[in-house]
Amino acid sequence: MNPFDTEIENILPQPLGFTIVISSDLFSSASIPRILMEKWNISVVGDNVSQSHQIHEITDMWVSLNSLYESLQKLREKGLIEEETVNEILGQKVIFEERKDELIEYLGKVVVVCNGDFFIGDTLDEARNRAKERCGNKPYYSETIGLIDIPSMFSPI
Amino acid sequence: MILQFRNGCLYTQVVVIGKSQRQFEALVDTGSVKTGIPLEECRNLGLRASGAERTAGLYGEDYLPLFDCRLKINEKIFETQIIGLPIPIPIVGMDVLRNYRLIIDWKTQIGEAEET
Repeated sequence: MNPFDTEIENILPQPLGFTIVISSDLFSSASIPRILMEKWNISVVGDNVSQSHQIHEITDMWVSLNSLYESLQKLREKGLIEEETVNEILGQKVIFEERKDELIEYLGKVVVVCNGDFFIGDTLDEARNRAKERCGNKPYYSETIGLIDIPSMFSPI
Repeated sequence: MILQFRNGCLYTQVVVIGKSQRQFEALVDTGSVKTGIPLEECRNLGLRASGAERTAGLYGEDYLPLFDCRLKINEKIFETQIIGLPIPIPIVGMDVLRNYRLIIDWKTQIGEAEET
């Protein structure tokens, strides 16, 4: 077992149900807020694991989570969302990131992640209604599978 | 749905209902998947964020909040979620428009919408 795997073994499970591990060389450029490091139990491991494929996946996930976190924090500051709701949405986003490989077959569909489950629909309303039937008004995270930020009509031919 | 042209763009009237309600003149945007109103208006109407969605457009992507609400267009009520937009323009997107048959004549600037 390589040191990276051992590190993961040693730090699981975590109270929030997920852990972010990042190597010290990547950490220096990632500028992770201290509050998040404490809250999310982010661990920094040695340079010797920086070549690991997993580290890149985790870094991508971190960037994505950080972006969502910042957006939600702005809403919280404006009084539009409660802190518990922020945490719940972030938790659902983590579940999405960890299990998104399961969703490849649903390209173009909308997934709502609520209470740890995936609800799929052709539209957000459809997916959300399915989630609502099972989970009521619990906060959720939603994403279109295979979403790209450039409309296909502008893709290079 | 009543369609109106203004400055070459198509608009319609939509009432967003939360703790209070307000009528907006919203841009008819077939390029938008979801209907949304400016974030500030979500607060004014007493809507609370129920979720967040990753959204993307021509100018990049962001995570935007979703709010449960009711939309009223003419006498039709939609129980739906709308997006809190970071722009000052209310938008009616395809989630609403797909319920209508639209006939648009851009040359004479006449638009008709019929519920399907």
